[in-house]
Amino acid sequence: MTVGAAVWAAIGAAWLAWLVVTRVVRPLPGIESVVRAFLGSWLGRIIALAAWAEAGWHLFGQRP
Amino acid sequence: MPEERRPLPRPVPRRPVLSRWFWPLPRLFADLVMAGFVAWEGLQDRYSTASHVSILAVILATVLLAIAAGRGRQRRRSRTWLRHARSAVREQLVRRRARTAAAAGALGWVLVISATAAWDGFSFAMQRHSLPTLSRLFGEVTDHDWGRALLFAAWLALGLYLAVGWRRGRQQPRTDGRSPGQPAGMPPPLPHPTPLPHPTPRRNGDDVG
Repeated sequence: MTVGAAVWAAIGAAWLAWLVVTRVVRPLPGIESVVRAFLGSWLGRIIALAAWAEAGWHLFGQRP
Repeated sequence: MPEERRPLPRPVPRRPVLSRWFWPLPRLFADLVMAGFVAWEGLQDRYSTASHVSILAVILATVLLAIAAGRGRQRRRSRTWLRHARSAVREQLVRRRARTAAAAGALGWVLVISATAAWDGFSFAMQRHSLPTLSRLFGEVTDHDWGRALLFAAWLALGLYLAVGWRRGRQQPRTDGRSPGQPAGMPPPLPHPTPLPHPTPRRNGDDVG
């Protein structure tokens, strides 16, 4: 396993652990709260949609 | 023995026969079209014109949907949202006043997202085979037809939620107190006054208490 793969595995594990923790410990804001924080106004929604569009174009239309 | 009076059951509105039989069909048809589109997209090459046109069409349609579904239905004005975000960062991170669960949760998200972005940027800057970027990892998945189709379905679902999700109802007031159609700077209208109960006439000798 390369260094990069090991670090990505650690980051992935951190994501998974944090998702579980925020799901179990209710006062902590979950991933849906993070997304909804952006969807509260036009500006936040435009930022989220722009990031989504860029990610999709990069992932499905360019060389990733 | 007097028979106990029961309230009559409310008549259930029945759909017309044709509508009752065929009402799931439009939904089913839409689901089938979406599934076919996802499967078709999975078969496309990322360099092909068809792939580029379809991705751009999805982005354009999602933006138009967001505009059509969101007119006058945002929970806050952009200025208020920005002000709240600024003050939250200042209060919770800079001054460290609010040590609440929300602050701890926000800090956790900032750490996880920052670590991802920082390591991705570092890997991109190094340009080494042993340091793959995030998009290269995703590229390993999208090299397969099924992987591309699954990721495309997830991307489509997320875009749909970002376009139409988390809006307030038409009658629901904004959280910053401004209702739709109300000009900026004007106070919100007063709530509709509740009608007082009709006074019952007192008879002579009633105990006023």
